[in-house]
Amino acid sequence: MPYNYLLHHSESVDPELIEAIIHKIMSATGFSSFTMTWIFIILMVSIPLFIIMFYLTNFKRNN
Amino acid sequence: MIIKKLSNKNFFYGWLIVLSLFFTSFLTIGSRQGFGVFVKTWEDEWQVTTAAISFAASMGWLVNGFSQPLLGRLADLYGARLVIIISLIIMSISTALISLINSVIGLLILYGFITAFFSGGVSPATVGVIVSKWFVKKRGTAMAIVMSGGSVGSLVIVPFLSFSLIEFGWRSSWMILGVFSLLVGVPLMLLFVKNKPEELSMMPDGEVEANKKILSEKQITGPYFFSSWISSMKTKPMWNLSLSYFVCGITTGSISVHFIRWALSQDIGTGTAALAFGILSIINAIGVIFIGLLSDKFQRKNLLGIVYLVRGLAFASIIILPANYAIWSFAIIGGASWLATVPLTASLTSDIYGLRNMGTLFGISSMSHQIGGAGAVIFFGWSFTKWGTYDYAFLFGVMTLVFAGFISLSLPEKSTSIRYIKETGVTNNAL
Repeated sequence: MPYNYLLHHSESVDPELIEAIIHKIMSATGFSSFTMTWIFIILMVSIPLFIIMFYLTNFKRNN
Repeated sequence: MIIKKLSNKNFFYGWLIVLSLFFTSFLTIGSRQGFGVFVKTWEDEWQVTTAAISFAASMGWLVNGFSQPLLGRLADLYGARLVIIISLIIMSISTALISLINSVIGLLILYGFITAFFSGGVSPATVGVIVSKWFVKKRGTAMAIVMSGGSVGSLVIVPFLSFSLIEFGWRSSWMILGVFSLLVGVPLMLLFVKNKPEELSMMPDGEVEANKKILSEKQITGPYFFSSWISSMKTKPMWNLSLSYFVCGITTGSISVHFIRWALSQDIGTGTAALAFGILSIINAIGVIFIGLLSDKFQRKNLLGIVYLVRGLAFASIIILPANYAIWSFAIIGGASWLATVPLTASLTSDIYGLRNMGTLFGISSMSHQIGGAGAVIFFGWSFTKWGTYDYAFLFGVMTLVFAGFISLSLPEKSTSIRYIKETGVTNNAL
């Protein structure tokens, strides 16, 4: 049954599809998997950092 | 530069809550969707079949569906913030513990039961309760931004896990994700998210003090409020919303599993499917926010009806168009309608039934969504086996979507929603 859901609510991604996507990303950027891992880590960390900065610049000062 | 720009404006605190819940959706949905990345690795390492691993995933799908009304009820009784924080902590630990397992049984327990169950505590059923309390006028927009966190999560976390699998292996990947979620996601929730604006002496939407009593009371009870949530099940809008959301489950569940199989059966390569998939995901993330913005201007039931009919058009294009065109038409038309149903259905539930039972009621709709999805996956597979084509199954999808479109359009929003009912002293800001 469904291990290979497309992305909707909380379904799992199709393993064959993700392999093809990864291949496309790597051939398009020319980066190694190591570099790509760190790029995505930076993206993941940047969201909470943005939220904290949003708080500090807009609300902390007012307090 | 961006931050400097933002600081020049006077932002309502509710938007900080929306951003924090966006990140929670990002973590929860992204990590659950990452499961598929590891299927082949587990098959090789544990020497098990795809069916054995997919059993854990399908169990997770159903457990998640049944947990939503239950955790939604707890959110109504004890506050959504507490339910979300506890669920996120357990989910994070469970995610990290997946790195230690050595068999499908471990996967079934940790992913199929624990993670799946508690991800129901970080779902629209609970998150929607907080958003609805902080926003009345801009509820649709706020809800859509939070939901889009899931789309962004899938665009970032799934590729991260894929590259991380190559670099660090599957055990480290799950551990990184679990620890990141525990050390970053949980503190953000603890620091910034509050159950309701009154806790910070604020008003929904940042309203002025003069309207405080009126807005709060109206917002909590809602035009169709019943002290017992069971009574709400006897009303027409609840059936409209649950039935259409059931169809949403049927059509997303079936497409999720069978669309790629259909593409492969039509000699469309995985490379093309991957590109179409990327387009669908991006349109999905943009589309949900766009619909959210519109939903604060127009009747939500009309938008919901249109979204279902547009999705019906995407389904019809699969039957009518040649496969090499159909895959793109589906990615574009279907992508625009893929996630937009969630903020619309959640917003309508709170607009009509108020906030006291919102977690329970939207949890019930979500459960019907999951049941519809699971049933449709089986039906589409059976249909293909019996007739050797997906055409009849897709036709069934079109019919159910037309049905969902019309029952959504027939929802009596103007006579049941807080946005349109005018009572003495009640502020009405909707168009």
